Formats: sequence, C-alpha cells, structure tokens
Amino acid sequence: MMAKAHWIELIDGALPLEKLPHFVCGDAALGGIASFYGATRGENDAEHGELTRLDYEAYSEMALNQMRGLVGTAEAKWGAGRVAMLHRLGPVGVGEISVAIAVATPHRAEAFEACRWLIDSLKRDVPIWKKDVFADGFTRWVNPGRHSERSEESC
Amino acid sequence: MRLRILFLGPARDLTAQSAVSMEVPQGTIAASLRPLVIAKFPAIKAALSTMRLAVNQSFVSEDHVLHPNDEVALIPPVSGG
Repeated sequence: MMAKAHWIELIDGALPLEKLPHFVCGDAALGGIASFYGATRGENDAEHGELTRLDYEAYSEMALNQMRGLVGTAEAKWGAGRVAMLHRLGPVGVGEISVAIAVATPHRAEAFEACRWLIDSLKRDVPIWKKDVFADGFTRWVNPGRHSERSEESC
Repeated sequence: MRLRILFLGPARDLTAQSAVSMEVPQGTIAASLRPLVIAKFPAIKAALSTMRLAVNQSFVSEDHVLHPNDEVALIPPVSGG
C-alpha cells in the first residue's frame, strides 16, 4: 500500500517531532532525507528584558493552501516524494520548536535544496505572524524588515 | 457590492477589528480597494503599502477584479518560521 506522501499541519501545542523521520523514511525510491527545525531564539531587550516567548497566529485556511502549493512545487521540481511541513500556533517558549520540515527525495542534493527552499518560501509566502513577548509583559509584532537578523538567520 | 475584509495579525491591531463587511462599487479592483480601506480605517494608511492582498485565500495582483462576497484579506509582511 502506498503511504501518504504529504503531512501539512498547523498545530496548537508541541510539534510531534518524533513522528517526522518515520513519516518521510521508508520509500525505496527516496534515498536522500533532509530536515529543518526552527526554534525560538532567546533575546535580551535593553528596555523590556528577556524574551519569554513568541505568540504565533495564522490565517489558517490560506496558510494551509500556501503550504500545499509549496509542497506541490517541491514535488515537481526536486522529486520530493514525501514531505512533512508542520508549524506551531499559539505561545512558543524560548528554545522550543516552532517549525519542522522534513523532505525525502531520490538523492541528497535535492533533499537539501528542497528543504532550504521550503523554509525560505514558508517565511516569505505563508500567512503566519509572530509577536515577541518580553519578561515585563511588553509585546510587539515581529516585523521581518526591522528584525532582519531574526527572520533571516533563525526561525 | 459587498465584500468581507479581514485584518490579520499586525493589521488587526491597527484597525482594532478582525473583520468588517464593506460596500464597494461593482468592478472594484484590488488597487482601488486600498484607498477605500484607508478612508474607513485611517490608522492603517502608513502600513497598508507593505501589505499584500489575498482574495478567497490566494494572493492576487493589484489589477485583480473583485466580486460580490469575496473574502479579501490584508496580509502584512509575514513572520512565520
């Protein structure tokens, strides 16, 4: 029986990371598997103290449509036969994982390339937003232009 | 014709509303909806040029023609990941 090829989900609460390898492995034609996990990085703001968490929200229906479109492109362009793309919603504490992507392709080069492209595209075209929440209660939306270091180097 | 306009994420904080129903002329395109939104929600003016428009859950170009009962979402720069 053919296994389900795509797992695309927005999840309130911890991502079931232990299930990802099992999901993308096991297809005899897919020899390269790459994954990416993005976690909340700690930050210390001069005025507001330690970052305690990020609060994520999405335009869920569209976000899932966009994610399906991205996975379809990865399938067509890199032969990504199995893909898991999970994103967390709600509060995500410092050090916790907010996004997880795993991709299985015939060879390793395509797996790395597809995985990189999927996370970059998610950060550009999937309607999800996050808010910094600091120790003193101050909150602010993460503006990808203003916080270029956060949006480009981490997830 | 009547549209449903969604203010998402940072946009919602600017308008203090998450969704409104708005009456616009027949044949309104995405680009011409922008000044109509500003007229009703002046606080969004500065940020609106950074927002993309999505109609019925897909991004559209500025010349996209809107239809009655479309769900139009203002999409501020996204910050997922």
